[in-house]
Amino acid sequence: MTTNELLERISSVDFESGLVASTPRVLRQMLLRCKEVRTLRDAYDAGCLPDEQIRSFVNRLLGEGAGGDRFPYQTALAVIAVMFESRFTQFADEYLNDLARIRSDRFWIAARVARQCLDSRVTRIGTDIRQFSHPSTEVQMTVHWSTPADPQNGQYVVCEASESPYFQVA
Amino acid sequence: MFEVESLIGDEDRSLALETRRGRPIRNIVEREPGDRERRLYELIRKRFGAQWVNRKWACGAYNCYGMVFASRRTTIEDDTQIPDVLGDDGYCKISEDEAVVGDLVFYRDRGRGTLLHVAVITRRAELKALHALSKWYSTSGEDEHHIRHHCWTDQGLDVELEFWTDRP
Amino acid sequence: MPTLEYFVVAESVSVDQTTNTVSVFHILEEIHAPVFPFVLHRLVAVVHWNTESDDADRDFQVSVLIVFPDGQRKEFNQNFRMIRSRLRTIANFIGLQIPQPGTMTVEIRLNGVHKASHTIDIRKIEA
Repeated sequence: MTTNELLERISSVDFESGLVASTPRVLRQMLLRCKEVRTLRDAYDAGCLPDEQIRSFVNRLLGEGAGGDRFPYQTALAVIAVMFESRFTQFADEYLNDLARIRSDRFWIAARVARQCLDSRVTRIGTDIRQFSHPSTEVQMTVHWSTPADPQNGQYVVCEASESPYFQVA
Repeated sequence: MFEVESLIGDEDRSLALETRRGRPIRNIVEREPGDRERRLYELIRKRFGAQWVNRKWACGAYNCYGMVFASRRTTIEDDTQIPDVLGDDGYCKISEDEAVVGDLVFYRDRGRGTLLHVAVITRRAELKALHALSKWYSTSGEDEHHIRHHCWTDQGLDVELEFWTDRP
Repeated sequence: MPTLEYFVVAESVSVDQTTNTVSVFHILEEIHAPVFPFVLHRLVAVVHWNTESDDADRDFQVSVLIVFPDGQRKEFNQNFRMIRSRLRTIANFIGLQIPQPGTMTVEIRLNGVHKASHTIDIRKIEA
């Protein structure tokens, strides 16, 4: 199945009929075990599902579902949220935070699933990185290497040069 | 993403709902299903409900917990509150043999211990088979069914049933 | 106060942005150089902290104290908050000048309290 076909599948009634869930928490737990979510996540990790493809898929669903009383594709949005729960790219962050922030009750199930995904991410490991740079000090270093003077008779000449900077770590 | 959706639309509509001891119960009044939700419910009935008897077609407002604990007024959105509701409202666990009309049957995913659903016992048929009335989710209809003819039979879930009563 | 899970000094570290896993490359235990002083292109100190129950909304400071073979000491500070249950602090050092052979020590302190040390032998390559 191509990624496009997979995305169409998660927005289908047939897919949803196998995910009968009374609350958003149960829906998220079912999706965590769902093979379509795993396949999408693998495709995302492999680079076969670019951020732009997901973005245009979601925008298309938003357009198709506009105007109705209740947004009809909440399960598809929830699938992507659960897919991104254990992914820490900028787009994953943006998607989860923006979906969780929706206050409209048209999206309440998808928004609750996104909030639970974010709550789960809070328990994950954070990273704080600092860099401390020192101005490169000019260091005169002498490098020795040998080069064959005459490969035929095995004679070698030792050359010497002073260059900066050269360093090596064993 | 979702810039427009974040700005427009009504916020969640909920009711003042509490347990008998005054503990607030989080809820949201679900909107009415559209065409797609109605088609989904038809498909679910076709897939799982060959022997279900329909009481009410697809509607909004409430889910299974809302049907049982909020008189069909609203959807109880957080199943982790249900044990508190049971405790505060004086429910106790019983065996399947002890269950009678009006008692509750809970469906639990044995693997994760998660509550999936609750239904109300409607009758005990031939060979002591219990039947119950279910609203499967917040935009489904209501169906009467054998307690073991549910939506999770071929979903790879290990579903266990629990019976609770408010009878002393 | 957060507790230290592990502390490693290496040439480089990578945090996979999709899976959030850490990979540490070439743990520094000894360094050989032909001449001194020489410039160490990159050294990274990775510390993994576990939060404790009373750590929320508190500021912490991890200090990386490097003692060079000639006794010179340099301290580098990094402030952080325990926003999640676990946190890595990664301090990258670019262009450290190593003056002479000997022992170099990298020490970790949290809010001034010693937590761990890592020793690197610096040796001269003999011709």
